[in-house]
Amino acid sequence: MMQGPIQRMVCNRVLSRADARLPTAWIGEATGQSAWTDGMWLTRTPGRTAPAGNAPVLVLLGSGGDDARAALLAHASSGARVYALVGPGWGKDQIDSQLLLAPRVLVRRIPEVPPSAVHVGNEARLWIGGGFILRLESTQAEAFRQTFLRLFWHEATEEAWSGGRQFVWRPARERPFDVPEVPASSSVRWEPPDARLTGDPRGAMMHVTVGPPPESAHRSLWFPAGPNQHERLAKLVQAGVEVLWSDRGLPDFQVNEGAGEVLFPGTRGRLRVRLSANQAHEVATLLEAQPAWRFHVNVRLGEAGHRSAQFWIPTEAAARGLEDEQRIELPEVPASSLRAVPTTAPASLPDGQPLALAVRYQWTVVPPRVPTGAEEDALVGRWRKLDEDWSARLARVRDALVAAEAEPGRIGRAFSRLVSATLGFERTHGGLLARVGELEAQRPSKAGPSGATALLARLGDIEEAARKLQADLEDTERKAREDEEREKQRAAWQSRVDAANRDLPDRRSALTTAESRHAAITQELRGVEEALKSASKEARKDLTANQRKLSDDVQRASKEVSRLRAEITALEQQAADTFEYRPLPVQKSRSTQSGGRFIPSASSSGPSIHVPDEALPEVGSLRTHKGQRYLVIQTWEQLSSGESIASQLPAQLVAPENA
Amino acid sequence: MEARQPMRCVLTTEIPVSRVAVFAEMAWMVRRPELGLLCRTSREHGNRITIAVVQVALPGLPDAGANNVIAWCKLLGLCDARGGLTALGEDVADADEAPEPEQGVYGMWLVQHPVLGRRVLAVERLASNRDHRFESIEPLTVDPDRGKVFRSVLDGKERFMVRDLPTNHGQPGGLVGETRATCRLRWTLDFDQARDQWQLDGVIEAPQGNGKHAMRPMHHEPESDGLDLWNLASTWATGPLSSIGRWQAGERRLAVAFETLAEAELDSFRKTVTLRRVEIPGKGVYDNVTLEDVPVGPASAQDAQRWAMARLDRHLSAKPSYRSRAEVREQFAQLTEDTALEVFAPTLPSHDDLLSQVSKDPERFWSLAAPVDLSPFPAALNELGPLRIGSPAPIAATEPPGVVRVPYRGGWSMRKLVDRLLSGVAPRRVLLCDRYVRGDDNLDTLKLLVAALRAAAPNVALDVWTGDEEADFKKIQSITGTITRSYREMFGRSLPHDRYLLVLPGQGQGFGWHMSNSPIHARADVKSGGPDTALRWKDLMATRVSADELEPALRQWLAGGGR
Repeated sequence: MMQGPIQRMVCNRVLSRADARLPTAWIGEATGQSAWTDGMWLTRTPGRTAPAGNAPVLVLLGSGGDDARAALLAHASSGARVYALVGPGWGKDQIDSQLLLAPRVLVRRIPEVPPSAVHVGNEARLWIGGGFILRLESTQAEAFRQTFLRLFWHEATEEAWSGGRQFVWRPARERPFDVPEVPASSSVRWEPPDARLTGDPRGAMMHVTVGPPPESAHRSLWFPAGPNQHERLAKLVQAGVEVLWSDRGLPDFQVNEGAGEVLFPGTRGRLRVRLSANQAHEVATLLEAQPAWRFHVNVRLGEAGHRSAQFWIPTEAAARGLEDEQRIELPEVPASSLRAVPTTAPASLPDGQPLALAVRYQWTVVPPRVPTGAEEDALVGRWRKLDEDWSARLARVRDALVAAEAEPGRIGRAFSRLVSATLGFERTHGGLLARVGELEAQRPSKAGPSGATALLARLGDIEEAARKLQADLEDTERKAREDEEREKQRAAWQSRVDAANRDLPDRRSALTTAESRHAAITQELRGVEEALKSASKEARKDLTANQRKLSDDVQRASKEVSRLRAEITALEQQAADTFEYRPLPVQKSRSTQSGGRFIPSASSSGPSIHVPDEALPEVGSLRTHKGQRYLVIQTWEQLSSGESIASQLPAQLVAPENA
Repeated sequence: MEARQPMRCVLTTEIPVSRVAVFAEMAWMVRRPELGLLCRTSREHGNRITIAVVQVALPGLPDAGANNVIAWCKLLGLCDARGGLTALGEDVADADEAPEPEQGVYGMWLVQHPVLGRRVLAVERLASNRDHRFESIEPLTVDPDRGKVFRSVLDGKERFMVRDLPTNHGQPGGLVGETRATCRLRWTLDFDQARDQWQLDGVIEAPQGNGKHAMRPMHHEPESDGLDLWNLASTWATGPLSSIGRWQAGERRLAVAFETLAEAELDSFRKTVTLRRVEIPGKGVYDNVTLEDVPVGPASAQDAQRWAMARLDRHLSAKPSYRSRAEVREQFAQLTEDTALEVFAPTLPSHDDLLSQVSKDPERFWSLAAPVDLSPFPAALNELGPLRIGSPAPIAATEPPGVVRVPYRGGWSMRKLVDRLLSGVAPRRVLLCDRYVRGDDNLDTLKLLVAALRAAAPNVALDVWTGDEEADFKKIQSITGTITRSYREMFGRSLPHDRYLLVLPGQGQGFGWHMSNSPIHARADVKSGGPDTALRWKDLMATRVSADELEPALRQWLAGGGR
């Protein structure tokens, strides 16, 4: 059972290759030091240099030229004229000061110098490689001289001579004559770079370092151990040829009974030397020493003798031994599901290296992961919205209830006759708070689609009860306030009736008086007016003035009578008025909100709330990407429940993005 | 043979010019074709002007008239008192111009020298007046030649002569005037051409009218004095030349010591010497005369030897390169034969001696040593030995097989060489591969080679491959009868250095001869020699080579291609 966070998993598998076979291989064998002794023609010791006398000394300074150089210096110091052919790079990096100081040395550069050689008189020696020196017979020496002359006069590019402070190189001057081409039959000959060994292969030993191996079957073939030409070598082995190799630094050879030839390597030309019987015999003796490498076919790796051997197989740049266990790192493998992670393996395992006795494969399984850029699923959002609405409504109910907590006391204090009624309100309020507290401990998203609906219903009930409580409180207060107002209005009516009854007698007597005074004055006025009609001018004047005064008085008396009559009328109406209650105007501040100030607004939106018909997953997080829904779990412990939930949602079960 | 430069010298001398005004009887040469005809007729009748001659030239003229003509000719100086045609008459015959006498006062510019005589360079007519300056009349410093036609140096077409200078006392005189005229005599003596030529140059006053003059250069056509120059050289040999060398009249050469020679004179065999003063008898004395390109030769055998070696040294230095012994010998012969050195038989030192002489010069040392040390064909001992010019080389008793060696001056005929080279086979075709088949001498010898080959095999065809430079392929083809191929066509850039003679027999394998020299460098001492004529040879060594020892183009020819 997997535990802990979900991560990539590293897997291993080991396969044995002891029975594997190599089609072809060079197998290196430990050999002792070759016990070579100098022969007459093939030696490893330079030997003494024959004095040149008046004969010119011809020197090729090619590969392995130290001994040839020493011979050159010895001849030059004895006064001989020395002609040296060197390669194109000779003397460019450093000056051979000894050679520079030597008298009478003419040096010419040619494009390529094959071997080192010294020719004096009728003798010549060639440094054939690996420290071996081939002494030439007189006919060979003469043929070598002709070859040297051809190179010297026809191939040289630059020249300089000793005796100065430095070698002053100049373009090689034109030849003074033609040197005939060396005949093909010559025992020493400079040949094209594609020249190959010739001669009868039957029973021959062949040493090939340049180009492909021969197709003909020799007795034995020395061919450089390496990665190439295995197919052709395998055919030779199958044809009975012994294929061997020891890197002695030697050029191409072919030796047979009584004959042989050497072909020196070169990119611009190759020097061929046909060997005499004696020379061929000594070369054969050299080749027959125990080889360092032997070419095999169909080699089983698990052979005990191969444990310490070196193998050189095709395509390998170097030889190497067997490897006990090869470790192969394989690329990451993606698992098809989280459940399949422990059992996921690469579709195929590569072969191990040919020389591995066992192979350990190692790979990493990558669990399925939520894609980068996946977003939260919409279901989660809907549930979150629902929870948020839930919490908001509960908060409003609680706030309203908390705010209404002091109302019953205030009403009781204002309306003493309501004290007993407010006690009931307080009990209802306490019960509602307790129910709100219960709901606050729950979430719709936790309850799932069905539980959420029940919770919401309960919440609606609480909200309704809270509204009713509020309404009851307000209604009770309003009624107490109306009774108080009616009593106040009745007392005021009674007071007004009483006052009217009390004032009416006075007003009536005042009216009578006023009416009398009005009649008197009116009378007097008429008199004057009569008088005026007959009065003299002087009397008229007084009578007119009196008339005017009396008119004014009549008007004032009339107004007084009218006023008093109006007062009496009013008082009579007031005394006859009946009581009528006039309700107080509605207080806007408390009646604008429908349902009263304590009623949460959420209660009115209750029917619009939509409860998702899917529940949130119990484990992991639900995300979506390009229309695909993913259930992301973090630990292996969530795997089983995650699989169940994922199948229900439906969603793909995955690990986190960074797993 | 060296290219010959003419031995010559230029003698110069300044001649004073005097200017006088003089009363004279002059004559100007004017066109008179009838007198020219008369003088030419006179030439055809014994150089005499007679009545008959006049009547031939002027038909119908009576004798009296003819006598008048003759008298007039005498008066003019065309003939003498006896009617003999004078030099002036010859001039009239040639130029159709005759003198027209006049008298008056003339301005004259006069010079005097043994070569040119008393000459009037220019003359101008002056107006006579009565200024009575008799006391100013002086004797003439130069009394001009009478009756000699002079050509004005101002106007080459104007010719005149002084017929007389009338005088009361027999002493010509005139008014001497001032002049800024200069006159120089340049006398060129060309010994090799046996020709002398003198010319005047300088400036002189030219009349501009109103008595004014302006300086103008003189124009004078060269004239010759007709000296015997080699006789003059012999005269000088005992005088100014004796301090320089010994004049060898027979060879017309000055034998000098080697030390006196400058570098260029070694090769030119000519020497330029400066003589402080020379005299030409009757023609004056001249100072600081440069005698150019005097033929010189060695004064002694020792001088000749040193001279020959110096020439060889110069030749080797001029074009440094590797030299085979054969080339050195050939060059030495070339540098000495047909020169003044040959008679002294100079000797080319042996190869070893030559190396010793140049041991301090590494470049020269290697250029001589390497070709011998690294020769594909060993040189014969006598070839490495000294070479004495003009003496036949010793003949080797036996030559190794496959080698034909023609010794220097061995006297071989072309037939002898061809017989050796054919080795007894009847050739069907032969190829001469030689870069330098050009020049008349070589082509003459090529004819001998063709003749010798045809003497051996009448139907043999000779192909020639040679360099393009200066070769006349048509001439070669006219000799061989086959198409001549160029080196460039046959070898491209890989030109062979040596000469080859390839033999394709009627039957059997073909073969070649690799030669150190060309057979057509041999020379016949006689004209119209034949194949059996003994020739003069330089060294020639031919080595027989097989087809696979030859360059590809030559190999291909032997195989049937390239023809």
